[in-house]
Amino acid sequence: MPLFKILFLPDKKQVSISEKENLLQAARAAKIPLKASCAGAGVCRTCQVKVKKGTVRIEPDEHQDASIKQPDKAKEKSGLNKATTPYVLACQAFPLSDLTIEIPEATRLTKLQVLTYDSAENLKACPLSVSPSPHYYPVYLSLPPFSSTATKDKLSSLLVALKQKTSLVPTRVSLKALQSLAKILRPNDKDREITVFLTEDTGYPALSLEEIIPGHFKEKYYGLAVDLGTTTVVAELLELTKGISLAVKGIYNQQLLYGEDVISRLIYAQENENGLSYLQEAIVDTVNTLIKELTISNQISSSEIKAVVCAGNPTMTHLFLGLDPVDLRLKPYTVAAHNPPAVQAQEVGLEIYPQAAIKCVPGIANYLGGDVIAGIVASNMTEGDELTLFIDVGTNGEMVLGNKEWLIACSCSAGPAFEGSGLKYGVLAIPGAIDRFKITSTSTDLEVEYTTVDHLPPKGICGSGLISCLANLYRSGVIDRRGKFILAPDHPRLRILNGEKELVLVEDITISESEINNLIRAKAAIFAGIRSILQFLNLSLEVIDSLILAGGFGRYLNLKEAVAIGMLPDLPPQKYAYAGNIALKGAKMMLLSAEARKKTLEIAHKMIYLDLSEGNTFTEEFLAALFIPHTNLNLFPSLIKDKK
Amino acid sequence: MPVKIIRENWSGKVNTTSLGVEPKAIKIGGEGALPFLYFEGEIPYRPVVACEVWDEKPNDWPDLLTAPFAGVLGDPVAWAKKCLAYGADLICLRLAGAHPETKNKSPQECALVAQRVYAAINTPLIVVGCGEDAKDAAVLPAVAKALTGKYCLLGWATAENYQTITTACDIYGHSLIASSPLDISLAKQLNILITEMGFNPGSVIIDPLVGALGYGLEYAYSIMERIRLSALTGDKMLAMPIICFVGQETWKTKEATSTSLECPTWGEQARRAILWELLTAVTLTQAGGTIMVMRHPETVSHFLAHLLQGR
Amino acid sequence: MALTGLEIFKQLPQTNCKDCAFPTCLAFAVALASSKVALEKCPHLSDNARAMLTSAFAPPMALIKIGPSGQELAIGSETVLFRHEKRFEHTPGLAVLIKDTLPVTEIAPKISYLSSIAFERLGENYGLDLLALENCSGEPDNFKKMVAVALEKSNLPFILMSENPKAMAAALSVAAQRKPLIYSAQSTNYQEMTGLAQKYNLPLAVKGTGLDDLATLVEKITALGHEQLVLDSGARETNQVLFDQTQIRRLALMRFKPFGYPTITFALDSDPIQSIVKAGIFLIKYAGIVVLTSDNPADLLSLITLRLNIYSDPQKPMTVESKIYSVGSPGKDAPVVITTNFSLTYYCVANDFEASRIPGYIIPVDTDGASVLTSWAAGKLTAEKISKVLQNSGIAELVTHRKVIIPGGVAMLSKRLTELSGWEVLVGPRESSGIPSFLKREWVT
Ligand code: SF4
Ligand code: FES
Repeated sequence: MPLFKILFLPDKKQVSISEKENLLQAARAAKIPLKASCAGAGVCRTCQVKVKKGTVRIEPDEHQDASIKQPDKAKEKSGLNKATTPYVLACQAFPLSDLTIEIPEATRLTKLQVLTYDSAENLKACPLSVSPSPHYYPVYLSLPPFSSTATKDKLSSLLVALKQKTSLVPTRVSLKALQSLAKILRPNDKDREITVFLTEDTGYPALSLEEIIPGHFKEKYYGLAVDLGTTTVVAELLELTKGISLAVKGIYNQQLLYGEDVISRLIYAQENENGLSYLQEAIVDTVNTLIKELTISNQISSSEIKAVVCAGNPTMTHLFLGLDPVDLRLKPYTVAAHNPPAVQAQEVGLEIYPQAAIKCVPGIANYLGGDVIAGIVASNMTEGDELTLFIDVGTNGEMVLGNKEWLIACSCSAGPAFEGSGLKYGVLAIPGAIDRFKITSTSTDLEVEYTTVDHLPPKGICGSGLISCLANLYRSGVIDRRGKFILAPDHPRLRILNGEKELVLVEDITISESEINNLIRAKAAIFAGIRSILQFLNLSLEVIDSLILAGGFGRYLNLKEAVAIGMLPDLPPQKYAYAGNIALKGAKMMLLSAEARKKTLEIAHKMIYLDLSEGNTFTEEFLAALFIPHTNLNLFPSLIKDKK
Repeated sequence: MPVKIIRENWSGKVNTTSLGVEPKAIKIGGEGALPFLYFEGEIPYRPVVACEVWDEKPNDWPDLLTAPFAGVLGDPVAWAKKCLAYGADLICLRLAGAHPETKNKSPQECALVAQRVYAAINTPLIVVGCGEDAKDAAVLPAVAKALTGKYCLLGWATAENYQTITTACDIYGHSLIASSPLDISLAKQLNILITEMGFNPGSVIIDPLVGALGYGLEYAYSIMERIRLSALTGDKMLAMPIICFVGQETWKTKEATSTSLECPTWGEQARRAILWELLTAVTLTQAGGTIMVMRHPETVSHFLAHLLQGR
Repeated sequence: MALTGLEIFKQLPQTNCKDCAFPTCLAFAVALASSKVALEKCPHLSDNARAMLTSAFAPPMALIKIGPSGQELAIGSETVLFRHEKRFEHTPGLAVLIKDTLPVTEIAPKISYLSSIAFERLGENYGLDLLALENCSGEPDNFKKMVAVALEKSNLPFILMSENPKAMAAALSVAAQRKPLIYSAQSTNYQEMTGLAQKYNLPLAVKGTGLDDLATLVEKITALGHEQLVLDSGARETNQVLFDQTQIRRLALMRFKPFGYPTITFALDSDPIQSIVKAGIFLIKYAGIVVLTSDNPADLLSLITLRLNIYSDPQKPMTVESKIYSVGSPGKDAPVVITTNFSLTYYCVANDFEASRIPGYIIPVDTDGASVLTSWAAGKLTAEKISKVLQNSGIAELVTHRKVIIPGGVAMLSKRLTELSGWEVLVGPRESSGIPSFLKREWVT
């Protein structure tokens, strides 16, 4: 089969594919982050690219819209349709020659602002042990002089010394360590100081002696804390002897080319041959890219990274480790391991020190994983008696309620609307994203003011901007409590596209009725999740002493507006704290502290998971929450007061 | 051994709504207790029965149901009179002919029919459209205007068309039926939307879109029970009386429409169908239903006998 | 009143030792709160906690069994006043009354007929639950004879009705094995009747002349050591029965001991229709047994259906049957729309479809009552399932085209669905509100 060369612009990356492979697959091979929300099903139309040179064959496709001309019938039969406009859906286009493809700005995943954790602003400081205690750590030993009377071999005397000093007995010694050992501690060597590196595995008795080096190790060595997000992956590089953070970096998860939510990816892994290995490759590549960038900018060698902690949801953890994730999705759900044992970097393909120990944060259920547990550890909510509600406003909308005595968690699949997905002008919090609106209605029109991230010209609306938009649309009488437009049909800002009403907000940025509906559903899912978890224990909203908001919003979120639309409970603002990317923070704590790792396990053991799909509490709460702010207006006393 | 009777102290009550013009006005609602529990609160009015009259001859009614109306089907005025003779408390005129897929009658034609029926009976009148949201929104304002001052009950206002219908009912002084599919939140949401337009909550009647016996009756039962409990515990947005379109639901079930020959083990159709409509109505009144819209005159008389027996 | 999971949790040792086979004490407490596990499973309870929890979990109402084991009717053990709070647990028994004054020649066929009544609903057969055999004649002999016939002709459990201890003794001498319910102990005969019930270890109905009298009688009988009871307040008029039943249930839930039993009610009006109305109300409002006289299949069918409705589990999501539904009167070229069988989803689609004024077909796929996206996520709405529905529903005979419209939320199924079914797949809107404009755009032209 002939291979065609595909050149992608403006990246100038080139790959070769066969006529049986489409351009989305080519982009995947070239590792170019494209939008491909439906993972190549040909229906989301987010993967449009421009054919600059060469010809392509288009899959017969009934869903073509006006922007892409229908191939004419005769050609369709021959199966050789040439696109009549240069724009094609990458996932439906197959090469008939060498190609030059341009990826338009709109199709490309834009540069990302890294979401890090807030520096413990509103959170109580987390207790870290005074000196770092990573799970890959050196022990300095000074061995007694060689004596021919003792029959002991080198390893045995090393182990004796280790036991004397630390009372630890390794369960395994690596060949590499043994090979190093053979070369040192010769009978007449005076210098009998060595450093051994041990790997412990939280939750398991395993203790592995990985490395032996001569002398007293005083160099630096490094570790990585990783937040394996569904959309973005963020890594923090740390120096481990002192526990100093060197840099944080985040990029898009390359798995986005296989669908934007975990379910699409689960299905992709299940239904495609080698699907799982593609997905694993994509996430490992993503982390490797981060590693490369971090090590280059900090001028260290990647082989000096010896310990990694990854916090991800169960799907991400499974895919990262190459574990078949099929049972995550279907009842009766099961996961391969709630607490996956530590693995070596070379086993998963991370390009760092090959024996580096990689630990994934334990999870507790098929939809509740290490990212949340890491967040809980970092939040400190399990230290005191006060009742804390931890909310991660991501696609899965996980929440955890509890205190030092008990913890209960649920996940309420809010959908990715607040991450801008499914909305024509929805974006992540990239530069130029509108993050705040002020809309006032005048006698004939609307006055729309807004602010953007980094004060750049508006590119789209991010999550906090969407919340602000919804709150403002309701307040200014553009929509009713259900989110339907109630403006006069001839209002200058209303127009009808494809039979649907949409409102022009800023320049050509619009929002349609069904997009508003999506947002209302997303906010309703979050509130319904909160109510369901409380109801499960017969508690009222008022008993919550504090709320921690984790995830994408951070401090951009305007709390008042989030309450006004009924996404978050109407509780005094001082009860709220923003945590930002607290999963990353938890991963970092685990990287640096044995105590934190122990606590993670304790938390995972203590927490129980409430499956909201059982019974109809959630459905009822959800329906009640599909209203601005809520069908039960009494749940939002401050809004009633404001009105009066 | 004297038993200590338990009486709930309810803080709220159901709104009282008045339909029609004195001396024939009918009052409904006002309950301060669970249905028929006279010992624990006021139950000032009994549930009422409305008989369905169509502006057009229905073509999918079984013989059993058309027989009692022989000669008057297609003549809404005569039909309405016949229903009153059969004992109905009020008439529910359905403008089936307005449906775009049937006769697509104009709002003016519809208004005229409603006016003629009212003039002939002088009894409180319910008028419902054809069930097609947009068409009802066009028809009902005309009907509302034609019946100015008669304090009728008009429906159906749904989440899609409530604005026009609410405005019309407000201007011309009618009550309205707020209809939403079998969910307590949806019902309440619609009531909030309607009353936030400035409409008097006391003139709203809830239609929870009930199901017939064997066809989701239990969902309606529980939702209505919960609506009543909410009203009694002070939720003003659920304190509206409830209307149940019992006949419409019953007469499409297999149990009501199959003949004795078709289903020999189910007993005689006449008995079966009447009981089906009757037990649906009885069950729904036990859950708090106030206006029962029924079709068969025999059901009506059994139902009234049951209500009067209890007083 | 029932304890919440947290209240129970406070009583537990909170060590999360897992000896109860639950991951944590809270998990155990929550399971206990919804009675999914027995208190004894935690071996580490303090004495105080055990006493407190045992009394809190004592069922407010006894479970009473009538009939030989394997075929018995179990009633009672109810825990709520309204079915939406949890559910009504044990379907009440329907009994038909037969008097021993009936000519002997009629008794046998009547009993055979009554015992043979069966209706199929949702794949299961339902019929009468009990025969109420009444000693109307006052003659112990007649009673015994009728009971003997019933033993021979029927496998149903019995209620033996007589105020006369002698007649009861005579009937029991032949029928005790059938484990009948003895009706009834009253202030005049309760000692003898209790004696009989104890002798054969049978459930006993207690009939009072009002709630006060009933409570007194129950106390006396339990003092004699008999605890298998069924209550009859003596009321027969509808609203009085409603009052009594409501009070008995409320008091039982407040753990007023004498009323912690199921009840028996009678709908024996001379007007046959009114008696069915009554029976219906009693079924809804807390009766454990309803006795009627009718043997008309139409009457029984409607009551059995009502009982099935009210005693169904309200926690199950509301679903519609998975079959073809028509909107308007569709022709051979009408559109076919797929959705899920969650009733709210279905109703939204149906409403918006109707609003389009385009006739067509809707086929809800059985997704256990989950909405589109939920069922997709849980693997309940798949290309395989839709393709099966297209094959088996009979839609292929109703339309001549081969185009199917699927919800926009599961657009990703389209490719595979085409492969599997051979139908052309059109991706509809994500929200049902977009259906009218979608159909006008994509279908009509
Ligand atoms: S056995 Fe008792 S103490 Fe142990 S976990 Fe279960 S409930 Fe807690
Ligand atoms: S159309 Fe969705 S990825 Fe190509």
